Amino acid sequence: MKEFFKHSLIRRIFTKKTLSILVVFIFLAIIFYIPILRLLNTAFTDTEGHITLEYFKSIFTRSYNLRVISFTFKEAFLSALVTLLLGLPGAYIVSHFDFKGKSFLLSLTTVPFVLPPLLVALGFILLFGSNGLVNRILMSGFGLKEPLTILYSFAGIIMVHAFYNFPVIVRIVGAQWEGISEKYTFAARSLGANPIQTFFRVTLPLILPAIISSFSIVFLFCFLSFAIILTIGGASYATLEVSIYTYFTMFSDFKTGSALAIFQGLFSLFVVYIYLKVGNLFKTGALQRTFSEKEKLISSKPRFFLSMLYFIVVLILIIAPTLVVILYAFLNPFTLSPTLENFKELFSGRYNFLFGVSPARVFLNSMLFAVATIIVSNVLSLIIGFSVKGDFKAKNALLTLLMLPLAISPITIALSYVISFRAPVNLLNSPFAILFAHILASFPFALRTIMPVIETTSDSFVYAARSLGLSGFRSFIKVELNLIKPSLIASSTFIFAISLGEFGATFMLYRPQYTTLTVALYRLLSGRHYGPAAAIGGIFVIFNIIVFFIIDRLARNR
Amino acid sequence: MKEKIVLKGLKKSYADFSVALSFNVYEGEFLSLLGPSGSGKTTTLHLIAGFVTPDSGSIIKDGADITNFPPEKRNIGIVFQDYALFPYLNVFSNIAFGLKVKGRTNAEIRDLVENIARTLEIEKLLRKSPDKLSGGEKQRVALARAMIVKPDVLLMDEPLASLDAKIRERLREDLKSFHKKFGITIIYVTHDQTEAMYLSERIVLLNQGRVEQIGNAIDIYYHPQTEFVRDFVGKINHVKLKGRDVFVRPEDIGISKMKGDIKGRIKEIFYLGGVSEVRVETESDAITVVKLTKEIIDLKEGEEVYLNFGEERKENFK
Repeated sequence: MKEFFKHSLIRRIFTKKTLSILVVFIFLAIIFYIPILRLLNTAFTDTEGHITLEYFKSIFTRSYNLRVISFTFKEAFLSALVTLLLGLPGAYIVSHFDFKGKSFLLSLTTVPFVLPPLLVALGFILLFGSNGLVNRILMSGFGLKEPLTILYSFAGIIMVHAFYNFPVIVRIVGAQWEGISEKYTFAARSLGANPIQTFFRVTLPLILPAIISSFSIVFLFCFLSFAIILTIGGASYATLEVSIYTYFTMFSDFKTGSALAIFQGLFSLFVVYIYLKVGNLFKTGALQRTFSEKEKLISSKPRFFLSMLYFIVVLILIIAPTLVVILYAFLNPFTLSPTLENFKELFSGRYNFLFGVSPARVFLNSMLFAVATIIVSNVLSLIIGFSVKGDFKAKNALLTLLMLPLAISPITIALSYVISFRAPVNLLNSPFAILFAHILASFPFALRTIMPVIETTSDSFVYAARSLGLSGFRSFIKVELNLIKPSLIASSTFIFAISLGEFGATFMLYRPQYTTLTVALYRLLSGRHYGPAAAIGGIFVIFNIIVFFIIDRLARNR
Repeated sequence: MKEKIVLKGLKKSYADFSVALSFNVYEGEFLSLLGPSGSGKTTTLHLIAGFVTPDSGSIIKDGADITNFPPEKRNIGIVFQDYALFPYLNVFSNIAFGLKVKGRTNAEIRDLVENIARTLEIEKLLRKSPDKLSGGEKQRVALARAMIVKPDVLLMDEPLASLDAKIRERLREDLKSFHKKFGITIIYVTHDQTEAMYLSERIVLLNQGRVEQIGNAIDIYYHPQTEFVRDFVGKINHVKLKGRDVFVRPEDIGISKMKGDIKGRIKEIFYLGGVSEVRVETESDAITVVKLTKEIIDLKEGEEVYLNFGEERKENFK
């Protein structure tokens, strides 16, 4: 009896599914959990290995660290606030009116999601920099003597962040606003509330969860901002992310860096918690919109005019930096005549000293990292997706553990790799360190794209295929994989965009032979070689347009 | 009787649908707007409440033209299907909402809310969140919220439609006693004819945005003025009798084994408890007859029977 029990228990534990989950977790342990634990260990031990809180204390005692922390919070809070103010009118317009080009505008708001921050920075430098388009027009056309300082300032950082993130607000708040039943406002009006009272007492409380959760996610993005601070902010501004990087590169101080990374990580987790918690409020309580007569935007002239004004500002903000990159890629930056000079210059070999390798090799590196990341992240997501299908105890805990990399910043990941990948095997001189960082950055997104589709795919398809005589493996290939193909394409596109645009971790981990497009772009930008930088930017934009159309197409087909 | 609300040539057009109607509502009356979905019931309600502005025509309340008044100036309350209680406020604050926006003092608000809560027997719910309430409790809270500002007219938009049958019957009774207790003028929208007949003094039958007939339960059942009303309210048999078209209600047909107006054969019998439905096929028609079960207990499927059409009923149908 005892023997039988033991036997069946072992069989129950070591099913194929648990084994596959185990394999994924061992892999994730190597590339994530163990490095992060070693980072914790580094922060809380002194050079002799004794436990100490000294480094953690230094976060709050050293005046440089305090300045960094207060700047990071101030910058993130103000950026998120400006982003919110810029996004709310958009959320109102898309949720209340029908107009031509609305769906195109909605898809345009996904553009910033696929644009790497560095490219956005490039766009803004070309547009608003001291030698940028705006200043040049002002100086030649309006006789301005000195260029205006628009970027390289606190306001500049906030402007770029707001541009980058306001679509998050439009999407999240817009969706919530659109879904709220008009009965609530009707009820309030019939009880004697005027439109202003109705807005503050009814509409605002109902969209507040969406406002808070979108605000917190934007806050998090700006809190962890790296590339934009490095390029637009200049030397005088450093976020936590930038200073962790600086402690490592300038002072080889792993310990203070680790302590800052832990502080940053804990706060990020707290913000993610708020995001998830608040996002779920009222989901069960609030009525959904049923009957709805959406007004045409043209129904009132002043409203139409104001909306148009908003759209023009938004279009300039979304499109102009990207457009300017394309313009500069194919134009002479001084005479503005069409030319391929920038590409010739990029490939002339003149900048190979910056890259460490040839531009063709840089391009190849980026492609190889992207393809490898796509394969690994998708395979991981598929294994997890099929293994955890259905309900079981601890599923949520398991998924939380899998999603954890989302809250850990790229620089933290890179720092943990620098600490852990020296021994027993030195991976730091291999391409694996960068590859692993790219996998961590993309895997949670891939899982979130693929898993819901696997969850909702009915088992009957498989039973039908098996009953028609397909073997288990063939039915998996022919039926299941086919059913989730659209989600696989979507996740591959996301992974491609993430890997191609990843900068922070790559920049901290790369060796000259592994220079990627983003690293090359940053090198050119800091050397103020805007021509060839625009050429790389042009390559990015072309890829991003392709990515945008694939994602948009898939979203429409759904 | 004094007119509380008068709708005069009220028109509103949408791309694929329009309403155009006139009718009166008397002081203290329980009036139902009955019709199939898409007949314009809710639009009419929204016009009266002021959520929708009419293209033309006017709305008169207590002799004053309120056509261009915003909803908050009309003093017309509304209770929705699903009740639309504010999910972020507890029951007390939901009921207090109308007093709050009017700037009443906290002491006044507390007295008035507790008072109406006692009348509607919901004083125990005041600290609860709306999502913790049952359907019946929600209805009472929604009524309290609407009634506390003392509206001149109360509109109700299918308040019972999303509840299951048993609860619906109970809440229907609650509503009837509520109307008796408060004596307020109620305009009630429903697509359920039993509900409309049970609750209302008069019924306005709507179809495709037009008024088909106004009358009490007996008027619309036995004296339909249009084909639509005849077919929409209750069941009706269309019978060819001696070369004439006759329309007759199922319960007005006699059934006999011995003799009658037409001969037929029983196709099916449905025993529904106290009453039963007998389906009879004649040479030209399929006819439904409804009888008390005990009256037809010895009939069997497949049997030949005679049907009798009493003179007084069928004359009412043109």
